[in-house]
Amino acid sequence: MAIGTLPAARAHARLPWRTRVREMLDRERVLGPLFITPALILIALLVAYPFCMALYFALSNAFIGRPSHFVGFRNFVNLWDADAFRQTFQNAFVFTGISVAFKLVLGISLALLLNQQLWFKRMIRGAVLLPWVIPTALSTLGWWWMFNSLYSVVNWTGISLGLLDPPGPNWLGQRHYAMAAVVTVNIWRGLPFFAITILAGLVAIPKELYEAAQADGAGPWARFWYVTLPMLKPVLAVVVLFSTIFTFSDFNIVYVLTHGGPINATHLFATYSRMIGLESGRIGEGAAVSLYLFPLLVFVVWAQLRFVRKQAY
Amino acid sequence: MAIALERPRVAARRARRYRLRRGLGHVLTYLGLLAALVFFLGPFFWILTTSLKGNEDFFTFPPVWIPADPSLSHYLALFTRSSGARYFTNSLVISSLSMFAALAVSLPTAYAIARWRFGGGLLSTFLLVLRMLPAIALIIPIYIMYKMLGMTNSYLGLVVVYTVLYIPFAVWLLVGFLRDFPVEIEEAAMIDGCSRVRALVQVVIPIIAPGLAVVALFAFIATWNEFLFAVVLTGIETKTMMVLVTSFTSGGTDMFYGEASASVVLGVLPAFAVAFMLQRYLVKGLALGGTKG
Repeated sequence: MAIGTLPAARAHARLPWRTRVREMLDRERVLGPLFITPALILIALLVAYPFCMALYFALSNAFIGRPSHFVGFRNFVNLWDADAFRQTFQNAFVFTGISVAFKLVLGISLALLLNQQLWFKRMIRGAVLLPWVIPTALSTLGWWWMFNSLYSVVNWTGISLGLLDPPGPNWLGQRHYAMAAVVTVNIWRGLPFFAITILAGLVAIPKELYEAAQADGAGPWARFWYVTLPMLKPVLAVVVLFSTIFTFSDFNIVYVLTHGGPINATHLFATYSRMIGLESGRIGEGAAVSLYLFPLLVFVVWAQLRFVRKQAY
Repeated sequence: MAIALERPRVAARRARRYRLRRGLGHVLTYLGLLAALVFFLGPFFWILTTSLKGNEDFFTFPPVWIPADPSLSHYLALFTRSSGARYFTNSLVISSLSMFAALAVSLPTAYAIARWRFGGGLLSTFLLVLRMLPAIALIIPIYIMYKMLGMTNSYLGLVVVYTVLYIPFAVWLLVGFLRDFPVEIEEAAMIDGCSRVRALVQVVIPIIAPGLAVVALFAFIATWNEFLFAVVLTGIETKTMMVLVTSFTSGGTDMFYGEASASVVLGVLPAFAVAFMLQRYLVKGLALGGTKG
């Protein structure tokens, strides 16, 4: 468009130069780098550089507004000696382990239910996706109000169903209950991801396999165990991989619901790192917290991706 | 004779038993789904009714499920007392800007990868790394960087971060759309004297516009929902709708349940609307671009 709007005379005078530029722009050797440069610059500035900075911070005694010195792995050693960090460490594994296990089992069950012939199929699927689609910070605020100590609607429901004893627990104020609350919200938020992804895997299993199994006398349970589960393995591996990573580094739910409390009982790496690094200004230690399990994370991703690839071929 | 009579009777009994078992299966299926839907939708219902309740209805036991005389007073209070309008606008501005920026940066990149396989390996590696990399590891350095540049509490700072975080997913989606696009049309335009850039702008973009819209809407929803960077990098003037949340939970504000619920409803609506428009692509996006779960 811009070319056409130039006055004819000026366009003619510049023709050789412009033609040269045009020809150059048509070559992929020139245009290719030109096209990916903005993305690469942005990535270098806001991912690569900060990541290197984080690595350095983790190995230094950086403190907000003070020059820092290299201290080697002292931050990591010191953290391990601190009770609050060890609590966080344990929390992260408890939180991730329980949440992912529940999401996996419930996700498979829900996917099996959704895979039946149903009335209002699309509406039900849409409703199931809802918790995953909407902002976690806001839905967690909703849960916060539901778990609220005095007039908890969760307690009321539990008591009415006979699951809880009358006064009901102070969900966000007691260690184990607070953890249960955080895990519940995580399951609520992540279950749709499991159910819908597993459902996609279920739909892809060829019907003939079930017919063959039935002809061989396999009951529903045997069909699930020997046909469905093995066929779902690659999907399950991917889902568990992603969910483990995201659950492990979760921030929103804990930050809104409990702020890591009561007394660090629900702190995860992300919330603890923010508190240490940005609230108390101990940047070095904060960075060390955020990178503590990075090697493990890399290993988990590598192992699971390898497993997935092996399954796929 | 006796045997001949027996046959249909056995068959009928079997059929009845089969139908009974199938009926029972149906009932159990729907019961299970009902339980799931109550679990998934219950909180939404509770928040919606809470936002419409009068103050006296919050502190009752058993709870008031449906307010007798619903009112919008909490929404009004959210806008007058808690300057909800400003946060809503902030969210809207930041999400829209990030959406356009992400699209502008990602489209050429995706084109280079789709047409020439340029830098494809590098970017897919980056995609993987960014997925594993805990955002929290980046936030402390970015915060310090921004502090030095005076970019905290600015729209620009947050928009840049969101753009970068969204590039991998946008590129991945766009590469898919561009690969589906018939190269012949583009080549025809170039034979007719169109430059490659012009062919991209005037031929390719109009045709893949629906794909671009999908990418844009995903970007919008992702930035609208983002919380961690918003909490750390915004100040009083640039707080987003998500950050408003923290002002309700940080102690001593037990009085504002109504406003909190109203802010949840208002903050959820745009995400909900966009998700509704994206229905067809949600599952695909869920499987590969999921940033939570």
